[in-house]
Amino acid sequence: MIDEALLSRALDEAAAAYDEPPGARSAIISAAASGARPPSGGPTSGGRPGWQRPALAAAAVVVLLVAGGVALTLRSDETPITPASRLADEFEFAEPDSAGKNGPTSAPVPRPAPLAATDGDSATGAPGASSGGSVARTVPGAAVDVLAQAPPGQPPAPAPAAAQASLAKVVKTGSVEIVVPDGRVSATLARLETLVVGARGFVADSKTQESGDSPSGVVTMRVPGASYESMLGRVRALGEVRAATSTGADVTATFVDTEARLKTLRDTRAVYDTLLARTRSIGEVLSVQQQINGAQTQIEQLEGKLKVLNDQVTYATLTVMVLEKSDETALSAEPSRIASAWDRAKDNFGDGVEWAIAASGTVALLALATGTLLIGGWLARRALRRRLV
Amino acid sequence: MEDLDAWLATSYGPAYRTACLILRNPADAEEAVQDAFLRAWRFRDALPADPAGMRPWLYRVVVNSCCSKLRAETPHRTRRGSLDGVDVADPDATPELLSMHSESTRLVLSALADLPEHLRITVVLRYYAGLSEKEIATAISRRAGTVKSRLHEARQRLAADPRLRGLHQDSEEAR
Repeated sequence: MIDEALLSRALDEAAAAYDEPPGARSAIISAAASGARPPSGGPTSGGRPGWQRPALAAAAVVVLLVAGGVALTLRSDETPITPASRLADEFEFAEPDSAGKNGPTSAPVPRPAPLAATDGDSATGAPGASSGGSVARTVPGAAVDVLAQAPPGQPPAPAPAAAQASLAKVVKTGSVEIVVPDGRVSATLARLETLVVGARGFVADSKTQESGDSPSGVVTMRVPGASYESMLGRVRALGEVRAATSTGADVTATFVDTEARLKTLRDTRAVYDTLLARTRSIGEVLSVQQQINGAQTQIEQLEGKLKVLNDQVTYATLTVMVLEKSDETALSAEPSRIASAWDRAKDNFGDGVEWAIAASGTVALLALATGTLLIGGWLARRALRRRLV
Repeated sequence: MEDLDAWLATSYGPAYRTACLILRNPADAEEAVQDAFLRAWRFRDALPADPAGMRPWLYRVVVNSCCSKLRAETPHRTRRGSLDGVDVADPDATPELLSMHSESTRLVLSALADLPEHLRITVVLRYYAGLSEKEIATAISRRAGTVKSRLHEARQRLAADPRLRGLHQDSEEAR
């Protein structure tokens, strides 16, 4: 079983990478203040698109009829009675606009403004900020020329494809899962290492598991970005590809923004250095030195970020998992709708069993009460008969 | 509005990150959470009075918004891990994430992404949001027993995932 602490740690780390979008809270507040409404439905609605509900309801009715589903009908009504579910049920009917009769049509909920435009800080490196426009604004050289040639008040013409390609910094990441014949895992891993060396790359991480019935190996290789595609092709030729993903993320905007911030900070530090040389009192020295320390810290952070980005652009990351034929069943393909339905059926079956067990207490109590009444009645009747006799 | 501001200050971040982990797309997550908060705010008079009941209730709204997004976006999303070996771009990967996630986190996230939606949501609510099984049951409108079995199945699937085998070994060695 997977280590829960590991899972929790990984999710925490992953979640920490998602910075709150600046301006999102104020967008909600302004939307709430303006009376903008979310899509119709109660607060807890939204599980399925509207068109599916009648179809699902009809399907449920058919199933119930065919199965003679008295028990299932009882089950479907037996959702946990919690304050939340009670509220959810109330809210489904509390939506004034659900019938389209009450109140004027509300304005659509305003989409939060783009990050860079909201906080004025183009260096957030937020996803979605890496547009061609931002590259044209900030990259010196050819891209700036393109911007300068644009008529005032109109968006700049797109840069030539070749110029954009030469400016683009792309982080390439991929993973391939290949299945090889039994007994070929070690040889395939060795072949992979040879291929990496031949492509002037290196193996960043390698894990093999040769014990048990299903040996497998995972190799994380770093290859020069230019060799990534050819390496991908060679890796795929080593076995039967069961799954493959390949990602190319354009980090040009992040890169340029970071460089611009770095330059600004370095200029700032230079100004502070000049000021430091002119200061006379200890108080002034300490104050300026504090500012220099702050700027230096930020410079080092940005330099580290640039170093990481440079490394990821220079060397693409390719993770290759090698499995034997007998182990391929461990790979989990994306579940089909039937599989999902089966999963839900299992859940519902479990729920049904749970409900039956829970209901057995009530049934037992009723049986006990009925038995007590019957015995009491029988005893009373017998006593009455004796008295009459 | 001050109440909403205070509520957002305490709850927006966790809700947004939970939605990010479920949807794996910050823009979709932002929209889903905005919808969720607007719904919740609109029906604020009927919110549970008990602060302990607010949390799972809010997550229920967020999860439903996320499910709505997932179902609306599924036909347009690029399917990962296609069996014919065709390379596909992962639209969810962002430069920030690529530069900030460690290798082990990427592997865990990758394995998590391959879990069916109902298992992924349960795992995120349990191991990121820190909800109890009972709270998750409220959040996903299922019984606690169902939550328990889903968590068990999710852990089993993750344990069987070949990508995470090395991590298990490292974890066991660290102990």
